[in-house]
Formats: sequence, structure tokens, C-alpha cells
Amino acid sequence: MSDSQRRLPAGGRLDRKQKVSFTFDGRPMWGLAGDTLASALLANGVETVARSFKYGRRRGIVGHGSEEPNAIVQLGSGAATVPNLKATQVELYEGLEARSVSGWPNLDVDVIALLGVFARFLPPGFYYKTFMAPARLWMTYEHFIRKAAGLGRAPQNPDPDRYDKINRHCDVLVIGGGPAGLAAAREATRQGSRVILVDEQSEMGGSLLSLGGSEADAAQLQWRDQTLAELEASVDVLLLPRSTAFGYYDHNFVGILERLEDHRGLTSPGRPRQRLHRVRARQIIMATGAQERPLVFANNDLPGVMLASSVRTYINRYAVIPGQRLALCTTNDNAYQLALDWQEAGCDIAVIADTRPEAEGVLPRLARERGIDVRTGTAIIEASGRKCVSGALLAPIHAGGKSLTGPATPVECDLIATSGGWSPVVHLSSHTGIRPIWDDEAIGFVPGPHADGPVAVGSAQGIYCPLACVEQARTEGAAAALRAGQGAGESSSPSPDIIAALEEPAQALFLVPHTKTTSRAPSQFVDFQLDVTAAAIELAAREGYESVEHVKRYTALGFGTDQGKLGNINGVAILADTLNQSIADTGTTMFRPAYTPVTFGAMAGGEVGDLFDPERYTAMHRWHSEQGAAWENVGQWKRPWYFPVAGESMEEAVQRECLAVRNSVGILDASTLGKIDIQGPDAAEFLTRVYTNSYLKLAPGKCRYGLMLHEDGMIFDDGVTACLGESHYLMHTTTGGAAGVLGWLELWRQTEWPELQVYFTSVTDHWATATLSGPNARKVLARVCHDVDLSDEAFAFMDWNSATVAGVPARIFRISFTGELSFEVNVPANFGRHVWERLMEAGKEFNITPYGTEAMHVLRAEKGFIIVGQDTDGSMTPDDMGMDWIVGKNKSFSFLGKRSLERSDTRRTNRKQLVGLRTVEPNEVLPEGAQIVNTPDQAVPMAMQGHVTSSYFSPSLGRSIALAVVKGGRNRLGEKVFCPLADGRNVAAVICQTVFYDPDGERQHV
Amino acid sequence: MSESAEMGQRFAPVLESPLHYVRARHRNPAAAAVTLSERSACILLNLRGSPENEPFRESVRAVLHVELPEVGRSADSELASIYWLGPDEWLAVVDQATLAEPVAALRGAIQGHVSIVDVSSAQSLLAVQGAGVAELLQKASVYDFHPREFGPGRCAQTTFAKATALVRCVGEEHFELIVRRSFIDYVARWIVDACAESGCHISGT
Repeated sequence: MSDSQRRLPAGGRLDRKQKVSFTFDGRPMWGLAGDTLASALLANGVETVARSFKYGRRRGIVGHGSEEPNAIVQLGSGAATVPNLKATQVELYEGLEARSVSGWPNLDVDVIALLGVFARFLPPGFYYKTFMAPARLWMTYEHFIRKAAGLGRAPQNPDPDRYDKINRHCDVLVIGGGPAGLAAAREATRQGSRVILVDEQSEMGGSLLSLGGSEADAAQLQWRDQTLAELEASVDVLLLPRSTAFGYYDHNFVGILERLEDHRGLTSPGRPRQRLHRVRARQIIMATGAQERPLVFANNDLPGVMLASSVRTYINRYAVIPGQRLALCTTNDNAYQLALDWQEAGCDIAVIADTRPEAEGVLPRLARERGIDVRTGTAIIEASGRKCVSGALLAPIHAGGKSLTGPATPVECDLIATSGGWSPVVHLSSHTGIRPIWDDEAIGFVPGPHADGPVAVGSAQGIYCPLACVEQARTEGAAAALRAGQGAGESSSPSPDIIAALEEPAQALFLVPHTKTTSRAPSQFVDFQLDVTAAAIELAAREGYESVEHVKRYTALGFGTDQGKLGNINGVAILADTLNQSIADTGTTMFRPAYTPVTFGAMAGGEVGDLFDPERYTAMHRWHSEQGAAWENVGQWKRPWYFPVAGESMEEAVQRECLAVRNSVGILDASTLGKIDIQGPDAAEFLTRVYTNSYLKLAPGKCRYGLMLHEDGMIFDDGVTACLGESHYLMHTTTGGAAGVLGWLELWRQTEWPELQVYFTSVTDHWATATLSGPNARKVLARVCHDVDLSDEAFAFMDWNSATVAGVPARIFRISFTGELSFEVNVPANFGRHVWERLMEAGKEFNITPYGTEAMHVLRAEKGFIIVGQDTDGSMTPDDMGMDWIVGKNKSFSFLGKRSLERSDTRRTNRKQLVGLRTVEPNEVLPEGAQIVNTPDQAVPMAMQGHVTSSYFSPSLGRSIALAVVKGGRNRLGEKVFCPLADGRNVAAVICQTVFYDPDGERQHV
Repeated sequence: MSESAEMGQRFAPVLESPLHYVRARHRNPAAAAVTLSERSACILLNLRGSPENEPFRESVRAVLHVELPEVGRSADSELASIYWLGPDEWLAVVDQATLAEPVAALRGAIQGHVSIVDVSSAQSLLAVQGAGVAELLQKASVYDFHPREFGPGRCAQTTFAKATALVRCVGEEHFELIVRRSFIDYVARWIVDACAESGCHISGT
């Protein structure tokens, strides 16, 4: 089929020289640059673009924008495929491949329609009625429904495109670039505001882009061009065409999806395809316009029934005439413009059926003058035709709109356009929960009042006359600027030179009566996408559903991907009529973000792959990487897990590293531990309040280990604190707890104990830490550190000293997490790698071995040292861990958590307590997390006694070791318990002391 | 010669700035809308004290020749730049060449309850310049960096992508970023990605 058949020879905002080829359901077609997929399909004479959800009925293009319920397509294939797009919003590009997402095996032969199976399955409320029971069959139903109901397929492969996210701020955000939006944006700009103007179409102008060639229309278009040029020339204006404000959130935060490349092709290598703008605006002006409301009549879903304004758009903007002979049914003057433009295009008009008793406005008079058959008090009550419209039934209608006053007469036509008036686009303004309110004059819901919130202008506020729109928008633009702090609130420019025909009042008509009752008449569709009919809404009301929210859920009205943009108001009106109440009393359902679908890609932006989450590196990271370290994620840090040498397994590497520490010397990157510098005359008192033990007598040069509790008495951090000097301390925290501990300290300082003079500063990133551990640690350090006596007598366990290591000023802490002689060498991180490499050189003779976190875990478990967060889980007291020795009972001020340690529950003797476990079979390594029972010979569920918290094979001991928490465990030393495993085995183990290696601690005191 | 000085010579300590390993990889000065330049050889001091503590203010003035700045602002002298971090917290950046021992000098001058902590290795100092800077900052942070809101001298600690940064406006298309060392690889990678279309050049002094 050729493009030219329905393309007008001139006009439209098209590039006639640029032909664009595309395919629809595999059929090759072509359109023109400037077309949407919908206008190109209409130009190619495509009538059926979809099959309906429940009944498989043929559906055609109805609208021309985001309100389109039927023309849902999937573009492309493979990784770059995009589901769920409206053909009316897809700009045509060369090579576009579109497929309809409904109809099987194809649009022309649809099995569901042939068999009628779904009609029987899916009455209104089908979810509730049909699938209530039996519950076990739901999975089957769901599978069937999803397969049949699908609106496209999500791509299975990774998205090949880039996406972008950006934060924006402005004084005035204007949403919608039609006449009202342009006027408001220009006014705010002139007042000195920073303005963002956003519009979902490819160019600014909104409804102005649909205007025809009359003098008045030309003047309006000229006004648009001038206004836009002024905005484009302004410095502090950001114009965002092809961008949808999809969500309005609290505190004037708006999400905008900008489609940067979608109109050029399916993928956009190297350039972001879409950009998410996160806008924080001081003031918001909603110039979102209004969508035309279709009239509901019998068979109104036949392809060839369209909105009057959409037909006018196709004629004027795209130079496409979607039929040969038009029948127009309207409740208002505005739709007459279509008839005039249609006639101008040289096509026939069968009739204008005006439902009002009389029509004496400027446009109806003009239509009559032009010889058009205008019949007042008349409605189209039914469309006829098999695959598409071939005629209409007209009938005289009572002035109240509720009944017919005479018999129906047929009229021949191939296109029916209807206009039931306008529905202001209130979706965004109601996203924060403000319900729209009914306006009888506007015959539509208008945005509800927001305190300090956005204002609506133009047809979004129910003002449909272009002149009045622009006037009001200018006033509101100046007012918004004033509220944002610019200008004096006075409009800066004289009245605009817009000419518009005055319109007589419209009639409030929604459901056109039929000669038969609603339930007997051919289906009168309200929501096309989900096949909701007027009869279904009446049925819902009869079955007792009175709240509009209930009716929505019962009938699925407005549940489609179009969010019922066309059908909602008609549905509410029909419900109100059935319930014999006003529309205002019936109200409308809530609209929620997103206004139109938003891609996950845009939500993620560039934060994918290795940018998904920050990776934190130590100063020695590259050295570890060069040695082929395997990594462990600890919080956001990357820590070496183990350092495999040629062909080693993890187990072999960890055993080698452990034995090196026990027998000679190992080196560990401990830079990730949290470090907090604490200064102030009350520092010692503060430490004594946040740790369980006392720091009042800790002398300069000394270190002390401490446990930190929350108020509930449960351990949440531990670490060594050193006294650096008078009123000066350095606290070490766990790697993962650093930020939380600093916040905790600040919280108590700022809110509870402001009288204590103490300051905290995070120095985690400043220091790089290399821990030398093992019997030869002193010898290694001595080769690069000559200004400190490293002997046990001069530099005892739990001492620290300032020193120079490899030429770099350092702090050396003699503390140990392995039970071996250890020196933690801290140097400014800028010299971290230098010092590390000098230590490696110095240790060469002793075969110094870098070890990772796994060996560290094994070595500390051999010593029974706990790891907070592994051996504790937020429900462990110091006593539970067998660490009562560190709790200072006689402190003058008390300490955080002390009171909770006196509760009956924390004093229970059968709390879970930390113990050691030795498996009876020494090579059996228990899985961490394994549950512990007294005997496996009991019924399930068994009585749990506790669980394994840490478990390793100890190369030094040649057997497996484990730490566990067991109810009353410290009184059960020597008892045998069992761990039932997932594989069905029960592993026997004996409860023992937590210290497996060097129980007297002799090795660290050498 | 003191023992430590002698050791220093023998070991010839090698300084690796936070951005050391990233600098070499993104050299494209011609086509870059954003240029990152890391300043090393600086001494960074975290200062905490009460803004009402006049002797504290006076000693900072005497040693660094600069006034402690007010909320959200920074101040400069020929010796140092000071950034407001919080109601009782500032960051001082001192050029090592102009003042070698600022910690000792300040400690000597300041009386009372004040905290001075050397954090020279904790941060990467970046000058960020070029036509693409405004957009880069908008992508990275929710802060409003429009010249009307965030003119020269303004500074703020804010989220930067999923990390944090101290951002200061120096002039038109010229900002400073101060980023925690452990996050700098991530931040640099993020910046290069965010500037994928406009180009990014990374260097250092």
C-alpha cells in the first residue's frame, strides 16, 4: 500500500523530500520525516493496529498523543527491543521495525476473537469471581492470562545503550509547551526567573501544532514562533522538548524523562539514549493541557472511530486524511474546526451531529454557511462496519442527553470523529495525593488546590479559549516568578495578539443513549485498552460497588498502560449516573506516577556495572592487584581475601598464609579499619562512657581494647584505642562500622553530653596500615626502623610509639589480632605503598608472606578473638561473648548499655554463649550458620541450642575449629552436640574453650 | 643531620597522591570539556573549635593569615585556603612550600579546647575546569551550583554520585573538588563516564 493514498498533497510539518521506510508487523511501508508511527500507519491506510485484551476485537488508532489506548507497539528485536510504546508518540526513523503487541497469530486472524474464549472467562470482576477458587489453580490461570494479555516482551539481553541522569534546579518549572505553557514561561523569564519548560512532543507548541491554515490559526502559529524564539534566546531558560514530566513528588520535585535519541533509532552508540532530569523547582506551573474526551456509543471501538482533535492533528500537522467521508458527533463548538479543515482538505462530510438542542456559535454558523449538513439535537448512537467503520446510526437525542426522541437513521461514512469536550490533564498535579475537583463549567476535573503547590494554567485549569489561556498563563507566570523571588508580579507584556473564535457552552454528555438498554445494546466501550464497557460499569454498580476506587478495581477501568486517560472521566460519569448522584460526589480515582512509562535504563542512568556502587581502595590496592590477590568486599572496601601463587587453590593459599604467620612473618593490609582522632580535655571521660571499660588511667603510649554497646546492652563495635598524648586519643573501629561509630559518637556529644569538651575527626583515609605479624616481625621492622627500640622491654605488648619507618614518619602499634608478635605500622597513605614495599624487601630473608582477610579470620579464630557482626549479631552482650572481664562495673558515670545488662533477660543463665566446637571427626569443617541440637534423635522441629558463627580448618592445629553460640554453653564444656546438615548428615562436635591456640598468650609477649 | 632525615635520604620515600594511578590513563587535553588537575604537596588540616573562641580565630589569623570563614564559605590567603565544613569544623589547605610546619605553628599558637588533625593523605584535591563543569556537577550532586546560588568562595559538602565531596566555586567554569582518598578511584571513573561525550582530561601537579 502506498503512502500517497491518504497523504494530502501539501501542508503538514513534514519534510516531504525525506522519505522514511519502516515495517509494521513485517510489512514494508514508508512515511515522511516528521511523521509519527501513527500518522505513517494512517497514511498507509492501516486500519487495525491491535486486538483487544479480553475480546480480541479489532482496534484502530484513536488519538494522537499519550492518551492513545490501542496503538501499543514493540520496536526492534533482541537486546535493543522496546516494548509498550504508543505509536502516536513514536517518531518515525529510517528502518524502524514495529510490531503490534496483541493478536495471535496475527492481527488479521486472532484466535481469541474467533473462539471467544476470553469473553466467557472475563466478565467484570473476573479476578475476583473466576480465580477465587481453587487457589492452587491461580498459577495456571495467571500463566494463561499473562500470555494472552501481554503488552509486549521485555528484552532478555543487557541493554546496549547508555543512559544519563542529571539534577536540575529552577525558579519556575513550566510543564507543557502549548500556548499556556509558552506564555507562562516567557512571562517568568522576563521577570528574571530561571525557567525550565518541558514538553513531551518533538517541538514546542502543543495544540498550536495542530492548527490549520486559517488566518486566525496562522496568527497563533506566528505567536508561537516569536515566543519560542524569545525563550531560546534567554540565558537562564532550559527548553526540554521530547521530554515527559512523568512524576510530581513532594517539595516540588519532578521527574522528567528526556528522549534524546529515540527518534533517531533503536540504539545510540556513544551517546546517551535517554536522560532522567531530577528537577527541584521553587514554583511549578502545570500547563499540561487537556485531552479530548470521546463519546461512548455502541461499537465505538471499531477502527475508524477517532477523536475529533486527533483527526484534525493528522490533517494539519501530518497532512494525513484518515478517511474519505466523515461523520462528526460533537457536544461543543470546538470540534467544528475539524469539519472546516476536513472540508478544506477536499473531502466529504456526511454530517455533523451536534447533541445540543441548538448550535448558533461562530463555528457552527460558518459550517452551515459552507454547506455542511449540521443536525442539532442529534447523536451518533452506533458505528457500523465489519473490519472498520462503514456507516453510523444517527438518532435524535433529548436535551437532557439521557434518552432518544425518535428512530435511528443510517448514514454512510468511513470515519467517525467524536468530541465529548475536554478533560484537563490533572494527572501530575494529583500525584502527591491532592484529589482533582469537578468543575461544572469546564465539564471536567481540574487540579485540586495545593498549599504552596503548583498552579495550573490554560486548559489544564479548564480554560479552553486560547486567548483566555494565554492571559491567565501570563498572570500566573508573573505571580510564580514573584513567589520565587523575582519581579513584582505584574505581567510585563501587553495582551498577546491571539485571535480565537468565541465558543458557545458545551453540553455535558458522556454515554450516548441507544435504542436498546445499555446491557442489550452493542458494546459501548469506555476503556479501550482493558475492554471495559458502559454495561460493565453499570453491572459493577448493581453488584454494590459504589466507590469509584472499588469500581476501578472491579472492572479494571483505567488499569491499562494508558492509565485510562481517555476512559476515566466517562467511566466516572456513567457510574455517577447509575448511582443517581453527581460526578462531583462520585469523584475520580487517583493518578500515580509515572504519567507515561519510564525505562529502567533511565532510572539507573550511568550507575551500572562497576559504577553501581563505589569501590573503596587502600593505598596499597595496586600492589595487591599486581600480586593477583583475590578480593573480598568488606562494606564498600575491596580487601585482599588471599594471595594465590601459581596454581594454588584458595584452601592451599590460606593454609600457606596462616603457617607463614605462625612460623615466620606475614604482612596484612589493615588500612580499612576505621580510625577516629579524638581530642579534648574530656576525651577520656567520653571514651569511658561509650566503651564498657575505663580509659581514665590510660597513659600516653598505651593502647586498650574496648567493646561498644548500644543502649540495649548489645555489642555493636570493638577496637583498640591508643592514648596519643594528653587529652588525645586514636580510636580504631571495625571496617564496616567506621561511619556508624563516628555518627554515634557525634550523636552523644551533640545531643546528650554537650558539656563534654571533645572533638572527633575521621582519619581512616589518612593512614595506611601494614601489619607485620609473626615471630620474625620484629626483625623485619628493625631493618627499616632505626629510631625506636623495638625490644619487648622498651616496646611492650599494647604499647605504641612514634617512629620513622622507611624514611616516613609513622605510628607503630604493638597490638595483635593473630596472637603472634605483631606491629601495626601506620603511615600517611600517600606513602603507603612505599612503606609496604620496603617492608616486603626487608622481610625477604624471612620469606615474608602477604596474607588476606581469610587467613586473618582463621588466625584470630584459633585465638578465640571475636569479629563483631560475625560472632555477634546485635543480640549479644559482653557476657554472652565471655568478655565480662572488659566490663567496668565501678565507673562513676556508668556507660552506654550498662543498665540493660541488669535486665532479667540479659542476666539469664541459659543465654546463648560463645564457646568453641571441635568436631569429633577432625577433618570435618562445619558450615558457618549450622544449627546445633543436643541429639538428632528427635522430632522435627528440633530444639535448637544455638549455631556455628565461625568455622575453619586450622593448619596450625591440623584439624577443624569452630566458634559457636550455645544456650548455657560455658557450663556445657566437654558435652557432645550435633549439627544436622542440609545433606542429611549429623555432624558430632564437642563443646570446648574458645581459645584453640596458645591459650596462655605467650607468643604475643615475646 | 638528624637520624630521621638520614633515613629519609636512604629510603627516598615515594609519594603517591590519591589520583596517582588514574592520572596517566586519561590524557586528552585537546578534546576535553572537563579538565581535572590534582594538587599534591599540600598539607591538609582538619580544625575543630568553637566559632566563639576568639583566641582560636585569632591564632588562625596569625598563623595562616586568613579569617575562619562563615557558613558555607571559604577564604584564602597567600598561605592557606580554609573551607567551612560544619558549625565547629573547617578544613585548612596549606601549600607545603610556603609553610612547612603548620601543625606545630598552630599548636603553638592556639590555647584551649581545639582539635587540629593532619589529614594530608586523606583527601584528593582536584581543580575542575572547563565548559562541561556545570553539567558534570549537576549530574553528580543534588546541590544547586548555579552562579546565583553558588558563586566564587562558596563551598559545600555534598553527595557526589554515590560518594561525597567538598565542592568549592573558584570562578566561572572553575571549581575545586575535595574527595576522600579511598573513594577517588570510583569518583574519577564516574567522572570519566559522565564526561563520555564531552571528554575529560586528568592531570596533576
